[in-house]
Amino acid sequence: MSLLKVENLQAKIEDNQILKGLNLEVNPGEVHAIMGPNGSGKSTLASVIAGREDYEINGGRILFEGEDITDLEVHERAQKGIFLAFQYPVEIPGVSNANFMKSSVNAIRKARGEEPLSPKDFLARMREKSALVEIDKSFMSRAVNEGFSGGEKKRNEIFQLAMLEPKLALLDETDSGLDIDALKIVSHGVNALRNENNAFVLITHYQRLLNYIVPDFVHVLADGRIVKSGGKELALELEEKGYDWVKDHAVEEQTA
Amino acid sequence: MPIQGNNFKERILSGFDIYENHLNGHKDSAQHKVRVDAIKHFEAKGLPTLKNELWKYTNVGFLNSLDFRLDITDTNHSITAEDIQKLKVDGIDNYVAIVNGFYSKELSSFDTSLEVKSLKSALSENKEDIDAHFNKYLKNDTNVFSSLNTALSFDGVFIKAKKGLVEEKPLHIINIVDSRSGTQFKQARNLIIAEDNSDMKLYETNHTIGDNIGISNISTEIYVGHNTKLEHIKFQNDTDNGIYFAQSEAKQERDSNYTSNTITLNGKFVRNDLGTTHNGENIETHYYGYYYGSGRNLIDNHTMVDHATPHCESNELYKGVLGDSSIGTFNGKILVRPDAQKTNAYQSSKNVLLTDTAKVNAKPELEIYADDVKCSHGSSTGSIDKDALFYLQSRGILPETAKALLLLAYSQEIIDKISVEPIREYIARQVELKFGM
Repeated sequence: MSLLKVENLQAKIEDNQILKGLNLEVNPGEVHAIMGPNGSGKSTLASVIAGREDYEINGGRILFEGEDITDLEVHERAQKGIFLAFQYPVEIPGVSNANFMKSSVNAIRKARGEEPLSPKDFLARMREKSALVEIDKSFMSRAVNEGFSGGEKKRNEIFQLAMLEPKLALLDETDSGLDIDALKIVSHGVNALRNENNAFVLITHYQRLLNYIVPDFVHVLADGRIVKSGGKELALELEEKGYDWVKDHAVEEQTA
Repeated sequence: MPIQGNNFKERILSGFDIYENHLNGHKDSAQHKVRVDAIKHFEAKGLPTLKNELWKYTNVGFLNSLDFRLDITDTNHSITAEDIQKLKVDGIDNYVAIVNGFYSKELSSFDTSLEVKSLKSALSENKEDIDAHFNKYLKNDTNVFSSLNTALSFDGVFIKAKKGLVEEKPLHIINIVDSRSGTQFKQARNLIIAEDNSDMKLYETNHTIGDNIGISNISTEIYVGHNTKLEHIKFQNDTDNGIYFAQSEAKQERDSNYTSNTITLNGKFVRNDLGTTHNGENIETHYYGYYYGSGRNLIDNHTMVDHATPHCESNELYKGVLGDSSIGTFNGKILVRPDAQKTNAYQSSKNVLLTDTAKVNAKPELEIYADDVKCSHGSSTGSIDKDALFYLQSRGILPETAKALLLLAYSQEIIDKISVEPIREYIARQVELKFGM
């Protein structure tokens, strides 16, 4: 059974139809990259899978481990093991990272019928996972993302990913705005978390990230549909020829 | 029991008449004349209406329909030491109880270097203090509830820090109205004198005990001497039977620092009038406030900083969260008089509305007559940050918990200003309970 199956997904915001019949299948152990020009619907896809209510789904469905989750709420999807690393992580003044993660970890444990983590175990886990993305100790007591640099915010997303150990991680342009050092740290974190039971969907505009996190599959999204899929070499081809090549290619395929 | 009139004013006036008729030979005393002047002022003005600029958002007409019998010298009550134990905060061992407007020696307990006694005793024993500070700061002319208090109050608490006295241990003032035997309208009058170079911390709470409506009308005068530090924390988390009018007026001398922190979590009706007048240079005034309205709560905070002297600073931040059909009002005025050059005055009021039926009235006022000053005010009203909610929920946190986390964080900025740890933690816990945490 596939981990994620997106079938003919159509989604709009207000009168703007963004996803126009998108299909995607992700199996445990796989890393998928979704590439495409600005405005093609990449971030919308990530948001809709995570359950953002700003979008209206007006066709198709999303299956997670075989279960239709199209109508589930955001937190229910997260509790099932879907994680979205935000392109623009939200600043939450007054809520410390430690408190945030404690609430999060224990909410997910509770939904699975598990006891809350003991303060000792929680702290140990915080230490271990923050080391993975080279986050300083003082970070725990700081408010979530408040006053963080772009790179710190992205590292925090990967830290949360490490804390929650989801089955499916959607990384929405995690590479954008990162310098090369931060990109290496973030990639190292993701690679360390990869295993045969989880899967990653990397949403990116650039091929650069894929030098560090090597995908099994690359999909090109244009105008609300996946217009081309291939192996990791597709990313290189895209980098060389530009997105116009796929768009033209897609039009040819459709008209052929 | 004879009926005491058909509306609030008639009930008050006939109650005062009955009191006066029992005075016999004492009608000519100076103290009684002050009462008579105050009651005449009330008789002429009556209850404020929405046409009164200071009451334009808050209708007190409901007081007319409350049936109570005014017996202003009645000291009977059934409050016990057990009741007090439930109201005190762990770690705060100094407390005074004021029940139905009268200081209760039996229910109070303290070991402090402050001078603490009933106002009634102070009126006869502390002539110098009374002459210098009693009924000097309260705005009887503009606030009818102050004049009512002046006319009808007999007691309350007197607190004094002598010159140079630093008292680290906070004093808890527990105001109680016992409404078990019927609707009550009770006055307490407090006088707080912090002499030069002193430092004290006060924690004030109000409680209605009983199934009937309890109206408290509490007037507090505060003198903050040279180079003196005073922190005054008010925590209002009464039952739905509590109606609370509080006027607090301070006079600050040079180099003094006065911090007021007012946190309101419940009460049928709460009106806080908070005022400070500067009388010297290099004065700091800090006003912080947090209010959470639910049900049909009405919470009204009126503040006024009178910058009468140069080189002073005031800093004000009030934050509100209004749910259900509650109403919150913030009216903050900064007055900078012509002599008050080099004034720094900042004011900010922020509100979050949780429902379409909750309402907020925010009215910042700046009145500036000096030209070399830095003043700013801002006011904002919004709803819970949807992006933040989505972010928290996307990490598996339930919507109610996510909301509570955000609302707690919002209140934190104000609660963190409280310097006394057991009080800060107690109030933080009460706010958590409000949000179901």
